Amino acid sequence: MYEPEVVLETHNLNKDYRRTRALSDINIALDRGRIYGLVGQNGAGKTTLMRIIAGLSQPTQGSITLFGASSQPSLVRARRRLGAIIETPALYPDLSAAQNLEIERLIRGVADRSRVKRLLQQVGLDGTGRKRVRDFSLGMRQRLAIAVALLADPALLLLDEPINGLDPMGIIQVRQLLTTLAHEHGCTILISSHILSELDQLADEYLFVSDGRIIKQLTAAELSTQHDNLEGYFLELLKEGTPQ
Amino acid sequence: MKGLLYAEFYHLRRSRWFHIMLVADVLISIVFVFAAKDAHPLPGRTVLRSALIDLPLMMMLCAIFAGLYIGPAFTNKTVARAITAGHSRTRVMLAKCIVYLIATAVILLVYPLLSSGMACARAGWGVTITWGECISVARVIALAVLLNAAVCMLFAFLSFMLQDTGKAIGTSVVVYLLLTILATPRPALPVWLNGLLVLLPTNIARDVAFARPLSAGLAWQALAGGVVCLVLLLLLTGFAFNRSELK
Repeated sequence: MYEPEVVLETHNLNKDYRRTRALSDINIALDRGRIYGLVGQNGAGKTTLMRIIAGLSQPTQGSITLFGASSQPSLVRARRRLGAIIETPALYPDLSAAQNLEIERLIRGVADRSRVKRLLQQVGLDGTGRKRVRDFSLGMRQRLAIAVALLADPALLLLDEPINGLDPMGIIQVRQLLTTLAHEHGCTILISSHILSELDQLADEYLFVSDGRIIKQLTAAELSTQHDNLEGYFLELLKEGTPQ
Repeated sequence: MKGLLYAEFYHLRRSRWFHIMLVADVLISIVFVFAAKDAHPLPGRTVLRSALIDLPLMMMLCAIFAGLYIGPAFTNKTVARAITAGHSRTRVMLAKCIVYLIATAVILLVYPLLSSGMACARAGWGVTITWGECISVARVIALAVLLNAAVCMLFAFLSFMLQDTGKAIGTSVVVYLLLTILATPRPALPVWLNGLLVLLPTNIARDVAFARPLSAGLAWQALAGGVVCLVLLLLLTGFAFNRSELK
C-alpha cells in the first residue's frame, strides 16, 4: 500500500467558540515516523487542534488532510488509523482493563484476540484481573488509555498529556515505547505535555502554540543549536510575546 | 456498524445499571402480581392485558436508564473513543440507540411476561390457545413494544442532547411525568390540543392495551404512529448529534 510521507496536513484551520477564537490559521504538516511536541500554555489551543484532527470538533474554517483523505466520509475512514488520548482517558469505569480493551477491539474490528493480552503486558496491567477501572489509580488509567490508543496499530498517535499521573518508571516505559513506535514502526506522534523536560527527550520536532497560532516550528537539532533546553527556549519565546 | 453493535451489546451485558434495572423490574412485577387481591385467580390472558395497561408505570425505569446508559458515554468520553476509531457520528448514535431500545424493550416486557406467566401457571390462559390467539397476543405485544420504543427514543434524544447523566435523568423523568399527565383527555384544554394528544405514542399504546379485540384500524394507527415517531426522533437525534460539540 502506498504510504504518503506527509500523514497529516492542516490548511488554514480556524476554530471559534462563540466570540473567542481558539485556533487561527493553523497550517502544519506532519511527516511519517516523527515525534512532534506540541508546546504551549493552558488555553493556547493544543487540545482544540487535537480534537479537530480526531473528529471530535469541527473547524469553523479550513480543512485537514489525513493520510491523503480530505472529504468528510474519507476522513472518517482515515481515522481508523488514528490512536488518541485527548484530555482525560476515555474508559468504561465499570469494566476491567481487559474488558475495556476488548470493547476497543470490537469497535475497531481487530480480529486478533490475543492482542488484548499482549497490550496489557506491554503497559504493565496484566495483573489487574477483574479489578474495575474506577478503582484504578490515575497512572494505571493512563497506561490503559495508552494501550487503548495502541490497539489498532495506529499510524498516527495524538497524545494530550499522556504521562499525567505516571510514576518515573512508567514515564521511562512510555518514552521507550513511543520512541520505538515512531522510529522503528513509522508511527507519527503528536504529543502535548506540560512536562517540557520529558518532551525534550522525546520529540524530533516542536510546534509552539500561543493564542491559537503556531508561533514557531523547529526541529530538535535546530533547538539545540539555539538554546540549552526546551524549557529555556519556550520561556524566551513567551517573553518575546510576538508571533513569528 | 457491526463492530459498534457488538461493542454496545458487550457493554450492555456487563452494565451494572442494566442488571439493577432488571432486578428492580422483577421485584416491582412480583409486588404488582401479589398486590392484586382478586377473589379468584385471574387467567394469564386477562393479567397480560392488565399488565400492558400498567406498562407506562415501568416507563419510569426506561427514562432513568436512558440517562444511566447514554449519559456516561459522554461524561466518560467513550462516545469520543468510537468517533476517533473511525466511525461516523450517525453510526455511533444508531448503534447506541438500537441497543438502548432493545434494553428498554427487555425492561418493559419483564412485567407483562412474568405476571401473565405466573397467572397462567395458577389459573391457565383463560381461553383455548389457538394460532389465532397466539397471533393476536403477539400483535398486541409487538405494537406495545414499538409504541414504547418511540417514547423511549424521546429519552434517548434528550440524553444525546444534554450529554450529561444527571441532567438527562432529571429531564427524562420530568418528560415522563408530563406524558403521564397528558395520558388522559383534559377537558380544560382546547379541543384541538386534546386531538393532538391522542396521537402521542403513550396514548395510542393505552388504546391498544384497552382494545378488546384490537381492530385493524387501531392496529394500523398504532403501527404508523409508532414508526413515524421513532423515525422522526432518530433523525432529530442524528441531526443534533452530528452538529454538537462533544464534551
